[in-house]
Amino acid sequence: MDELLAKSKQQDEVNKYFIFSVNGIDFSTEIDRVTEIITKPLISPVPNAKNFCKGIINLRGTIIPVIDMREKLQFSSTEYDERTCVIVMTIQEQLIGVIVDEVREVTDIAPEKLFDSPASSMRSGMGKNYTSKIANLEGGRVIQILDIEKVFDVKVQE
Amino acid sequence: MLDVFIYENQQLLESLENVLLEGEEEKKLTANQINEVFRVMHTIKGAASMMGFDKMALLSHAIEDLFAQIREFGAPDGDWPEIFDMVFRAVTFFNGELEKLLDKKDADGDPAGMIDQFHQQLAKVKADTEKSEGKASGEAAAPKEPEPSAAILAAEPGSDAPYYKIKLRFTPESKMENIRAMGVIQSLTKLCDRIASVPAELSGEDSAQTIVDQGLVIYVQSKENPDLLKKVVDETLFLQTYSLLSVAGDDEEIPEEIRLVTEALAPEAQHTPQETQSVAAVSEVQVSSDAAAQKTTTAASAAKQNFISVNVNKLDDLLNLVGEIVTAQSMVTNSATIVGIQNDAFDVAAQQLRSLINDLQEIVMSIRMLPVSTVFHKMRRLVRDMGKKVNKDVDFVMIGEETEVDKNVIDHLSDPLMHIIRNSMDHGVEDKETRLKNGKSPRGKITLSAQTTGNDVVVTVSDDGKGLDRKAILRKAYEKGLINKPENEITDKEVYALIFLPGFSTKEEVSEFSGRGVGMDVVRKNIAQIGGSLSVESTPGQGTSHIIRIPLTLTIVDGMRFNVGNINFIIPTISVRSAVKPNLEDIFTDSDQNEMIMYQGNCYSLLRLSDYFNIDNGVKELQDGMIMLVTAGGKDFCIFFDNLDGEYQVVVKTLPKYLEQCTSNLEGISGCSILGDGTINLILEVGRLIEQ
Repeated sequence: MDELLAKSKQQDEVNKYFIFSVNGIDFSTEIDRVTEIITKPLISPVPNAKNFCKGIINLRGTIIPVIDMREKLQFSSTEYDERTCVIVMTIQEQLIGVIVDEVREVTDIAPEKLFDSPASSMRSGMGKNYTSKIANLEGGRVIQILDIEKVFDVKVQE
Repeated sequence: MLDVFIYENQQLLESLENVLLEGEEEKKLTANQINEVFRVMHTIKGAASMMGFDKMALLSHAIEDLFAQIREFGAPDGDWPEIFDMVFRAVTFFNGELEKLLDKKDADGDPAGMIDQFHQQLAKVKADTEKSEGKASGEAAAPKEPEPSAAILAAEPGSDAPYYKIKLRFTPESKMENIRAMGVIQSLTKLCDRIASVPAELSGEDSAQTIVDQGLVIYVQSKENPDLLKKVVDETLFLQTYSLLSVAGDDEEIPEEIRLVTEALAPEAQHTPQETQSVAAVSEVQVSSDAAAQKTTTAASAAKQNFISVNVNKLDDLLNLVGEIVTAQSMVTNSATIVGIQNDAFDVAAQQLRSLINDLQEIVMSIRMLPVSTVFHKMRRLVRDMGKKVNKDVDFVMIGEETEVDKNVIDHLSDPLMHIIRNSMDHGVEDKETRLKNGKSPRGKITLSAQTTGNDVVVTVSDDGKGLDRKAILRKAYEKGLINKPENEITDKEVYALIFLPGFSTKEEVSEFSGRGVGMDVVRKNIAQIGGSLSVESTPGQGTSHIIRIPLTLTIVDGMRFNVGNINFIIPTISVRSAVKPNLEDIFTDSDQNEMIMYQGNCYSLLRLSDYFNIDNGVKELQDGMIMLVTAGGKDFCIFFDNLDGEYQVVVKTLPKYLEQCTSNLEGISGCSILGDGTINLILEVGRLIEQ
């Protein structure tokens, strides 16, 4: 009985997704990646930054680089407003701040609602295949699960 | 658990290495040092087998065996050099394995060859000792360090003296029962032909406990009157009870070594009475010195209890936290000023808070300070090993090894020092023949010294070798096209600085230790990375000195803040000469469009930081910004920026690694720092700006 409970609990955790929107599209990532959400951060710019990097922030003494998801996914940029957030994620043991248009919700997605992205077998688009899975929720709502490791391509350093 | 294992064994190996180095100077180990080696190996063996590192355990076991033999019977002088070499190699092996474990790799080194060597050495020492014992000369007896407790003293051949069993107990408050037992046995030895004790092994805490639990039993064979024996035992301090019984010589309870059997007339029986005496005398000395050692150990362990070892990560966290508190404190104080609160009580409280936090910061910094001796001792081993390989006798002198620097500075000091000392050993100090020919002592000398000056520590490596060869350096430099000035226009200082250029090496052949031409430039770079500098002084025929100047700590820096556009920078005050509003007439452009400035009678290149870092919103017009004369690695130049803010003491933080993937170039920025206003400021590394 206990075993069964533990198993279902574990499944629950695996199935929780954190949903945010960028350019009007709902994207998602596994919830355990997200450590913190910051509104109104004080971003300090750095020289020679690539277009997607907005600078660095101070999270209680830890310096974290901040990436604009719009630029990273090559959407057009917009002004930041009161709904703009920085999601702090752990990627390859490094903390990275990700600027998104809006944080939506945390939701459970059952494994059977997830599909492999059909684009991964196509030679169209930008060929980056950042979307690893697609979830089809009630009411025809579609959510793209991002392969965060791929998006940020953190190089593990020696 | 593993961490503790690694840490403790590293400490043990370090102390072992020091014992060996000390001993090697005397060409052999004293009884105490042999005991120490034995003790260390015993501990490592125990710990390694408990952790399941069988190979380490096997090796330490082999060493332990060898030293058990040496402890009992000594080793001939001729065998010592080889023994030292072997144990040093073993220490290197152990350290290597511990490193692997530290890097979370498997300790997979195979010491089988080494173990064989130790076994062979053990056999050799045994054979040699027996051989020299046969000679029964005083010389051969001298290196013997018999363990008095287990010593079976010579009996006269065919002795038929009666046997006695003496059982005694010490009073509960006596302490150090094993040492007292040694004392009793010692006094009895003079009266007895043979003596043995239960427990036989009297060194170590275990035996003391056994004596407490079961009492001490001594079996003796003696021609003396039992009353005399009683009298001697009676004189023992802290004696509670004792009994003396007569026993048959072949009684089974008597330890085999002294039991009455014909075979008992083993090699020991061949000792002449004279020799017995000298052996006894040696043992006596040892008992007292052992007792003294025991006392010092107790004193040392009492002192040790005042120290605890802390994981350095915790200290890093603590330091970070203090940095945060400093930041938060100035945020609080600043916001009061911004809101315009005028309140004396608040000002007093804020002032007090500031001074308390300053104290706190100082204490945290001092906790992280360690003496440089650990690094220095490593170098001693290096000099020793290399001296053997390149066949040069070199004295190694350490000065100021107690000088304290921050833990992370120590970590960065080891590699550069190693490189420099290798160079000095290889190229600096001449071989014996050359030294004698030049009227020098055949033994070379390398001095390693450290001293603090203000916020810096100066570490100097000096050798008394041949010095740098100006001509050879210049020839090489012309060959490689590194300079094009005529020879007589170049000062010695400039010539010596050439050795720091990449790919520069005057040594023709490549040796195992140095001479690949990747030496000094890397050393200099490594030192520059931690904000230090390296210079060299040399007198032909008399020697070379390498002078390393590094900050005491890497975590707190005095710096000046300025901005270029919307980016704030901190430049370490140590790199700043002066800052002024530029005079437009002093600035001109050469044919290559390089900007220059005449300042205080000298001409300097002018570097616009906004161009260097591609900052669009920086000041463009020279009259709107400021000029700073900066210095790095002996080179002075000017930088142009927007506005100077003020001087701060800042806590240095490293930049996140991922930032390298987010920017095209971060060259010239060594870290960052959070200031009281919450901004992140980039720390400028001046040396890097011009190296490109």
